[in-house]
Amino acid sequence: MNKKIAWVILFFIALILQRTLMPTFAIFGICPDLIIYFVVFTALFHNPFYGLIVGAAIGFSEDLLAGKYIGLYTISKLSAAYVVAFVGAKFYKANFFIPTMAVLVATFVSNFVYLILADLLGAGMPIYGTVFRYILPQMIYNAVLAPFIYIPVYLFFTRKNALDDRGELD
Amino acid sequence: MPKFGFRIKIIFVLAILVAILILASATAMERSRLSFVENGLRNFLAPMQNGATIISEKISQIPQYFVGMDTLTERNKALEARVAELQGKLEKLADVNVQNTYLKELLGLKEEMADWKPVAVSVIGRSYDAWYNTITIKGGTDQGFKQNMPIITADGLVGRILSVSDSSSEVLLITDKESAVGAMMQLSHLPGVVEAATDSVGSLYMIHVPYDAQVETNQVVMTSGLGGIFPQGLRIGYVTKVDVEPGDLMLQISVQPFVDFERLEIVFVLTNVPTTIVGTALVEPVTTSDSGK
Repeated sequence: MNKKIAWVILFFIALILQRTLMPTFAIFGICPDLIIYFVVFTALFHNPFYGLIVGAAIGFSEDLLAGKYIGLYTISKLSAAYVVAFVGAKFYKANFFIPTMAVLVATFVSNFVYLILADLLGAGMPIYGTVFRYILPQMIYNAVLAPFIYIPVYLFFTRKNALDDRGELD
Repeated sequence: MPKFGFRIKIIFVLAILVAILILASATAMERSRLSFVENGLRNFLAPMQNGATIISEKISQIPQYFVGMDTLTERNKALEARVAELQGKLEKLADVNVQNTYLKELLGLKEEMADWKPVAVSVIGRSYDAWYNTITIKGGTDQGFKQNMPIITADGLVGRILSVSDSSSEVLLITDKESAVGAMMQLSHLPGVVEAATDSVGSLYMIHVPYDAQVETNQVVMTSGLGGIFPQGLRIGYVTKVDVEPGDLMLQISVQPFVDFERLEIVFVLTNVPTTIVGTALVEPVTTSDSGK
């Protein structure tokens, strides 16, 4: 239970850092998305349903901070969690190549779903331009950083799952 | 039975998705008031964002400290020379200011900047993605801030307040895709609209300018006051490129903003701007040769 609280606190820290520290790491206007790591790693290490719920909750928190088009981050993060949870379940999680690919795919799915829905709702986003100038560079940026973030998270979750198996959590 | 259960699940999921899309559609337009939940979350995060921003600034200064040591002495000498030069200019400007005040009084004009009651606030967060180009500033309804109040720095126009919570406000930058600012050329008063460039981050376009208008690079673009939100005379940027599409009736003018949006730390909220203003320019006319940043 303590680890779940720690996870929530870590999420809020990530949410704050995303809007404060991360812009200082921007390259050509693109900065890494800390939030997508939470979505991906939660979806990878838990059962798919739990991953979806957490993905939606994370997206909804972003929606509340954005203040516009409330629900689009929810659906986009939910979609990313869905893809990662159901595809990632087939792979061996100790292989560090898997989370890198998962972050790559999740970044694309999350942003692309948002782009399409925002366009449908009349936001007037240039689809090709946004994909090539924003989404693809951010996929690469997020994926490059993924292994460095994954290692501590992997240790955190494998320890937690071991406790779960013994019924020491919840 | 299992098929029936599966259908129920599908219908349930679709209903939730439709409900979320309706919510997204309903919140697509700007709202003057935030919901209780949004307000609560922002108030909860604002103090922590403020602290994190201070720490982030310190962290971002560490590399500059090491890199800057070599050039610091040289720069110090140059700055001392510059201070001496500016001191001389300042004395001249004091004389000019007295004369200017006298002339303005004669014309019945007011010092609008003072009337606009600018309030200095610090930037405590920023959204940096493809969808939103916003910053979060310290201070909200507790400081009397309201939606659409203009935000400026000493360099020029930053944006306007999009939404306000108790202790923080979200500011829509002029580089956001949903921003549109009534603008004009400083010298010719040629009107147009400044909006975000969709093909490069942080750049602007001035649109709705007839193809035969006389526009040159380095001309200064400023607010026209015609949009009803921004007062007239706030500097926006300078012209970097003028494109004429064959067969098109309008020019597409690339504008480089004066404000460095990646280095915003302190901004001013103009808390007392009438909804429709036609005032005087806040800056002296700048010739095309020295109008760049």
